[in-house]
Amino acid sequence: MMIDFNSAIPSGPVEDKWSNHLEHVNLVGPRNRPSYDIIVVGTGLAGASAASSLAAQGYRVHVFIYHDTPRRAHSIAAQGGINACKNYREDGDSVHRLFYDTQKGGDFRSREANVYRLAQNSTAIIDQCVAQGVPFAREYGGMLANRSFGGVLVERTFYCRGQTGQQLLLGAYQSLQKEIDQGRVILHSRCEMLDLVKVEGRARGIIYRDMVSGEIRSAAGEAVVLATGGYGAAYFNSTNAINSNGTAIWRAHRRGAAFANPSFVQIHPTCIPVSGDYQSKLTLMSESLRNDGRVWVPRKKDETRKPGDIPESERYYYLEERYPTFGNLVPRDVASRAAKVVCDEGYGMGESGYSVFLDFRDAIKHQGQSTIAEKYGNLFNMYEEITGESPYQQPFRIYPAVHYCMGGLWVDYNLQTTIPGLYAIGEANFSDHGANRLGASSLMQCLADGYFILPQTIGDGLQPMFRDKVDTSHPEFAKTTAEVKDRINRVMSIQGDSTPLSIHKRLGKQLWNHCGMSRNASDLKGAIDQIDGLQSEFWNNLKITGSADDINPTLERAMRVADFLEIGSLMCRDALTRDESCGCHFREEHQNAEGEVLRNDGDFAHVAAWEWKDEDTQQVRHEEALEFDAIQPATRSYK
Amino acid sequence: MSQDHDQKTITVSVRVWRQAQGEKGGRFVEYEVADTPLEASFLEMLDILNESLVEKGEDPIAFESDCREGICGTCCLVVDGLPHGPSQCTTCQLQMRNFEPEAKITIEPFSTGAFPVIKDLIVDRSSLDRVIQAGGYITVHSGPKPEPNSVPIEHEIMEDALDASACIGCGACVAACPNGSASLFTSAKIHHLALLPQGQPERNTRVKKMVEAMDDEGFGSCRNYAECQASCPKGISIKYIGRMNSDYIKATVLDTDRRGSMHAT
Amino acid sequence: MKKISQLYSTSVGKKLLVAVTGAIMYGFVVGHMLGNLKAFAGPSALDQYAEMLRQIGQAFLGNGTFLWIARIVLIVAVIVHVITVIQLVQRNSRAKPTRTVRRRNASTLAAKWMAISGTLILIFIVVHIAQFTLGWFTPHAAGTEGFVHGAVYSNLWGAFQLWWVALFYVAMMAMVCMHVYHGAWSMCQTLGLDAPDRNAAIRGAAAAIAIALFVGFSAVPISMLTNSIQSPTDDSSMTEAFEPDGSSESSRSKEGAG
Repeated sequence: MMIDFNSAIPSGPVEDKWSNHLEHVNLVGPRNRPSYDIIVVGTGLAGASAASSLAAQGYRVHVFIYHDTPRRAHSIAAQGGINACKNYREDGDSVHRLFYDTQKGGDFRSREANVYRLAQNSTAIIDQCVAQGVPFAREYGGMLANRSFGGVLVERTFYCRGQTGQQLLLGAYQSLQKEIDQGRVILHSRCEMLDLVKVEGRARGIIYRDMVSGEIRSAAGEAVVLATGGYGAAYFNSTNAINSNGTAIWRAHRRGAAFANPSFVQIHPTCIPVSGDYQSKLTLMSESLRNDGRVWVPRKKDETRKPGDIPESERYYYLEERYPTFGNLVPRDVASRAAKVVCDEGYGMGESGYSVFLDFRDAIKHQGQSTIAEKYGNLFNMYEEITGESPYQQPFRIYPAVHYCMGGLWVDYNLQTTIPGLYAIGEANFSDHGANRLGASSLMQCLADGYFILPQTIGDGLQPMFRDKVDTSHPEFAKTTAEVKDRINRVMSIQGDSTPLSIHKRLGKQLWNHCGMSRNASDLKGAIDQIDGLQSEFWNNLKITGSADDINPTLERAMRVADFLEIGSLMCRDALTRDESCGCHFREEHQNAEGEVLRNDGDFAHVAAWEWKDEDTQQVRHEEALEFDAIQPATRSYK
Repeated sequence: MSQDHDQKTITVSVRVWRQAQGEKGGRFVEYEVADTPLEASFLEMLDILNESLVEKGEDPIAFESDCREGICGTCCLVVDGLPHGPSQCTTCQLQMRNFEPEAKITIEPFSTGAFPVIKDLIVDRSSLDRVIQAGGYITVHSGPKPEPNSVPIEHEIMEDALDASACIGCGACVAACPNGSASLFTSAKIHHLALLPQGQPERNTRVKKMVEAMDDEGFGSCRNYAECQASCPKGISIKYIGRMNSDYIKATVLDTDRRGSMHAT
Repeated sequence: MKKISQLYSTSVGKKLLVAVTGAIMYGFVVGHMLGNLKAFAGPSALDQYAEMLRQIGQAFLGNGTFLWIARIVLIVAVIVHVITVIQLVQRNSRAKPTRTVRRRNASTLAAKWMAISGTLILIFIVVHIAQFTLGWFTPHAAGTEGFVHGAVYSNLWGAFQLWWVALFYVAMMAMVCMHVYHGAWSMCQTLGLDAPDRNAAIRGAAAAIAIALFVGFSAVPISMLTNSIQSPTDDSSMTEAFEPDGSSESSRSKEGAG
């Protein structure tokens, strides 16, 4: 079966595509909506906003989360802010500017029509959130405040201290709770999706595990929406939450949804460095810190003095020197790679030699400690709690860490995957950020998808389905349930010696070293072999204790690691076949004299979408050519 | 033992509450966690312990955590008798360097009347969700909204709203309260929404419904011990409880609408 | 009534009733303490004060009626206060942590002892009324006059010559002091009158009034025990002021002596 890669982009100039589309999209009438069941998996910003919006329209929504409550989703950890081209500062912002910045930031590897629509919807998100009671920071005159983020020359980022994601998520969560109270959303908490059910080629339900009783159950609906986030936790050490995983999208991929650009993973420049093997989690320090903090390393290798004792002339402000226009606010991929380069050259600080300084000395001197505390207080405190060092007294020590997946399930303009009836929103899809995401854009994308785009496009695929109900008694459900149970039994019965955690850590090392900030063909090939080895170790020598009919964190991790191994392998293959550098994807073979990325638009101005064949056949790579009408790709320069 | 290494590890013994699913009671089990890196977090120490239990073929300790950066509110352990442990932060932000070498640490669940234990250290806190469901929101649908700058909101009001909405829903306030009261949690949400102009239309119904929901879920009543405030990892003030009370009085006794006229009861 | 039953249906509403009834009793206790200080103006001053209380509103209501209204309000306040608190305590014991949770020392001893001090005060009220209002239980030192309805000063004198009676009263006043210290601040919080910028002032005022109550109330028993106050027999004006008559005998008010 050939996958249908019709991206369904409406005709017309880029500015009019979305409004044209809305004029022609098929709709489901209000009286018919309650007879449609829609399954939403995940309640981060995308999932919670979509579920509450769909429920408010009248659809019957079934929400599945592995958390105990929707408010725990990892969107809550987003710190810095959300972009919107309100142009409140009159500093030249516009829809086109936001569109341009996002396209350029993504190194021209994203779909123009989607990015433009994102920029168009950005301002409505702020209006919506304010109406919900999200407490965005206000200036003394009572107007909304803004700050600046990397990769842009305007101030368009709205924020709630360093907890913007939390406040936005609580807004969406509250709307969702309202719908739960009114009975239009049925919440299934502590339930993890383990497979997708297709009936006659259409997504018609999911199989999930009740994580308390261990029971395998199923749910049926007319559409399935995956809002399950990214797969960055494949690297083991990342800024993702402990339970973040790629299982839902990977299982959907194995049922026929194409996986796009899997190797596009963002490494965030400002995280607390790794300190040891036991470490479970890397903590992000918001990019907003780069508004006022200055990044530097000592000019002397193996510096032993305390940072405060190093005079100005012996400090190497490498971002400011190399990129005078954007300075400390270069995009994330550029800042991360620069940190790696100076550390590889031996200028790095800390025991491992793999960290750089982010210094607020000058900002505190100019603005006063209380202003800095109001802007970033919670981040400063968080850093001090973890490291025991106060950033008011000495600089932050930071190093890049895996943060976000630009890649994800391939979706068309309606956010529908290659499986009819299956939608992917938020980080789970691939569409808007190309090869690198700008700061404060993921919240924007999640909420645009959830509040404004999906609720208006989902009806297009539902409209012909009226009265075509399928319930869980359909044989496909029993068949898929049996497959899921088999897989769990297989995992439980191996009884070997390697714990899921140990395999996960080794997978993470392979990916970080060979499919991280810097990649090359021979390393990637080596990593693929190593991951193959880990896969066979997993299926032959895995050790799990406890029972499948109980709360079993080891089993949960094992199921996730099984999928991470397959995802990791595909990531490396994608990185290997994309024989160019672009954005986060830095192939050492393709760099210019200054060590910057060298794109190859002639051969790679496309989305790589991988199609699952079967267990024994490798995925097939398809290409969706990217068209550039509004902005012609140019070499990215932040100098 | 730790002497073989340098000063960078400590050995601690933990007394952990273990309770099988479906059982009413449980028991303490003692484990030794040797050579825990001082740089490790408290939950990473438990990770190390669990990994060793799995290697030995034992059932690991069930505990919850997710973001491990102090914001999602999932982690919830009573450490040495204190919800979230000795520092005023979430359990995941607790660091092993805060403990003495050879420390004996007791670990228990956040269990109260409204937070029943599910297994070991995992409790069911869905009662907090249902308090929010009763009215902790502003009823708006997705769609075009008025320009937000058309209603200026004072900087200080917004800061106060942010202080209240910083709540992460971890339930430490309930676990710390000798009465198992959710007043701090509930009042913080009520106050956040009551401060904002957008929150006014539902202000009276919201406070009434949320206060009733708090009772329905089996939370205790506030005795103004202020233990909640002392245990809140986000430093939320008990002043919000006072404001919830006065809002409740306005909504029930005075029963005024926003124009100040009285409703017939 | 509907509003009261609505209040009574939630724990926050119940707390409000506890606060309001507490406020009524608080007002009474402060007045009682100030009235007691009349003892230092001499036996007749105290007895006259007691008589005066009976005569409030006499012109409209007749002798003692106001006092009875006040008593009924107080009795209702005590009953509502106690029953509501008992119900809250029952709720709280179901809701409380099932594991022993340590305090972070944020709460004061007064806060922790509310139940203990409250129970003792309730016992005290019963004893106190039985002793000085109803005259059912009248320990008095040898050589003093026994209980006589209306002879407020002399009744007090007789009782407080006994060290253990004086000690009991002083100890109970310590309980009252603790109870109203936390109670007054707590009442402000429950009524939503507290705020961080006035918290210190409210706490300070609550403490000052609590200490004043303790000192004021303890002054009479201690000074009578130590004979540092006039003995009732020294005062010749006592008998000539008035003879306690039958109509008012049972209404030796709590204000004056009980």
